[in-house]
Amino acid sequence: MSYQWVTLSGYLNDFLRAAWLTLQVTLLAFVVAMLLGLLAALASTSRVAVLRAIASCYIEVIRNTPVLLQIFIVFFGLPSMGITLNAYTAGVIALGVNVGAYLAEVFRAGIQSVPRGQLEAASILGLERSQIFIEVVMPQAARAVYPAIVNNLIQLLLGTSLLSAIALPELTGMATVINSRTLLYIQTFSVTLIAYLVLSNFLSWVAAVIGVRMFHPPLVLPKRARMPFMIRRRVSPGSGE
Amino acid sequence: MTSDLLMTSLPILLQGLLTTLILSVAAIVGGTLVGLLAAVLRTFGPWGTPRLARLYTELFRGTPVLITLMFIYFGVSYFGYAINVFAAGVIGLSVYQGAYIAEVFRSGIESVQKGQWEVSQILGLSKTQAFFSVILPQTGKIVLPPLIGQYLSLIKDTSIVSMIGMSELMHQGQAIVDRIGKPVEIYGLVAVLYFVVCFPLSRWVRRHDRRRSLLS
Amino acid sequence: MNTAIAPRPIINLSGVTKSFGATQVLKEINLDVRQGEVLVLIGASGSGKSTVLRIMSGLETADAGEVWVNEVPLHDARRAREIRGHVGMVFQQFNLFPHKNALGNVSLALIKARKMNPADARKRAMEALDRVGLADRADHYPSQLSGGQQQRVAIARALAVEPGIMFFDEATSALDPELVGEVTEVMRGLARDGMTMVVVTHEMGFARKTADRVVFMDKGVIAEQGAPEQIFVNPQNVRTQQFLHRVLDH
Repeated sequence: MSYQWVTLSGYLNDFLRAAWLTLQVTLLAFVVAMLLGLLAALASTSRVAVLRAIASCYIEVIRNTPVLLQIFIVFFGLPSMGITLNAYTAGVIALGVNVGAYLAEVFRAGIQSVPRGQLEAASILGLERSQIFIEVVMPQAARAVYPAIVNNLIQLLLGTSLLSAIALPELTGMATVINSRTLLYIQTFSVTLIAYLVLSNFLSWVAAVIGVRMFHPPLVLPKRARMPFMIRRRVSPGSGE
Repeated sequence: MTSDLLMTSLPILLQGLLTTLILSVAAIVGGTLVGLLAAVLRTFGPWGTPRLARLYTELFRGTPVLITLMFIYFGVSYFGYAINVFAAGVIGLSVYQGAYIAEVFRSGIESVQKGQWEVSQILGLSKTQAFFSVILPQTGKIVLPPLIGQYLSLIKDTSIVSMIGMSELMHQGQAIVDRIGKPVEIYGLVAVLYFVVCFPLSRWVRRHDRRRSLLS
Repeated sequence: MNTAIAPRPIINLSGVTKSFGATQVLKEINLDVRQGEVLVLIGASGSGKSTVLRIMSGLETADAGEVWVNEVPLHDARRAREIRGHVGMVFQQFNLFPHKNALGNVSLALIKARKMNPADARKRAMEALDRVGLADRADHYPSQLSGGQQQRVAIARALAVEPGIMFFDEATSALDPELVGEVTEVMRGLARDGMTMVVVTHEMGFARKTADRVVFMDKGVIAEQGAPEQIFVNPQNVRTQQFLHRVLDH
């Protein structure tokens, strides 16, 4: 048994590289998702009907189709329309677009959770609409949505495993490769599993620390930001909802 | 999309859709049972089991479903047994979604006011009786929309089973594209099929979810 | 009680009508408020008194009629915005910004809307807080203040922009009884200093002592109006009598 672990340890470098790649893709896709999510949330609450329709289409299509399919469409479909992407970029875009649709709902709920009375008070004081949004709405909405955002970040991390389907050498992809060479399925998958647990806990921890610093009064995240009432919005790593 | 392409690919895709639906139903049943069990153990289990149930949910909510599927499928063959893709898919998805479903049940149970428990006890009902006659019916109403939401998730997750070789909708789509290309049209059609199944469910969920805000 | 009252109305409502959906809330309201006057609106819920206030402050628009506030025609959609930042409103629910401390709340509009530099804004804000007696709590967040203190901060916030008129929408209704006094005290101070005030309230004591004129509203019309002595001691209208009886003698 121990000889198998020795064999496996020879792949340590590969694992670390794959883990690092996983983290990179996660963070980059997250930035894309945050931007798209915010834009879509603003569009869905806009007074312009066309914007609301576009946002609605985006959100509904993404949330009602599997993320794996979305990855395939980006990676295999775009080339036939003239855009060729490597697996890394395709992965970042597909996951970013996917989680963005879920974040859009989160942001929208957050924006709408700010009590109307405050908007009235700010308006009477003479603040412009954009000022009200930046100074009054956003700080409160940000605080309210923070746990849900962290949740979605973790889901994104787990979603990177699907990028193995387009041959990206992230953790799951690397595990498959190592498996085919060593046939040590149980051990390899165990290590991979632990790697994901470590990464997700690490991200949660960083988020918790940031959460405390960023808000006043300090925002304390529940353990690993996984509260039962967020189930509905929790994107399951496979696809969504 | 030409009507020729449509006519040749649609039957194959519909077959895949059928497999998807069968797989979904099986996993929904499995997942619900597993989830219910975990939730009950978590709330009322004898000494030690609540902890176990919690570990279970934390584990599967913190790892990708693909890993779980592959673990089961390849892991079994590691020990010298054979398991077909369908079984691996059902077990994997049940166990995975079961963790989420458990949380849905758990929060539903906990949200039924404490007062109900106390009243039941005063009336002389045992814990089991109270659970089945008083708590569960009320939990049911609260729990149903998010539960359907998880089922929706599950239906979409069946696409991942294609990665261990199951010829459901996603896989059939891939097969066609591998043969004749035209990824945009074929995957587009696949997307439409998923959408047609999922959209009504997600509309229903949105309309009926009682929880006022995902943030409250 | 205010003695220095100018003759020309600073607020003028003529023929103001307003409906919410199928319910007609205001029916042809005609009302003037003179500069420096303290006008108190009383009436049962649903009588339309809050709606009148909100139309005067620009939060709602009338369906028909003219609304002139401080020379701004609020009934003209293109010009209605001019009123913002020139009137003050104090709400029943305070509506303080929870993510800013007292000083931050009071100075926000000065910095962002008036474009004052932070140092001047801070100075003006501290003066406003001092006026309501909360200069020592400038660094407290709303969650660290009592209801009465929060409302006083809200008053300071409204005062800081130096409005010509102050509107109070049931400013004390959400407060515990023992905290009402500190707020009405501040309001009395403002009245003494000559501020034009329109107040919707259930606090009959305040109305009696501080109002220059009391308006009783009933089902969307002004049923009766006059000096406090007249309204409270010798109400002419039957509805006024019934209302006061219900409110005062329980």
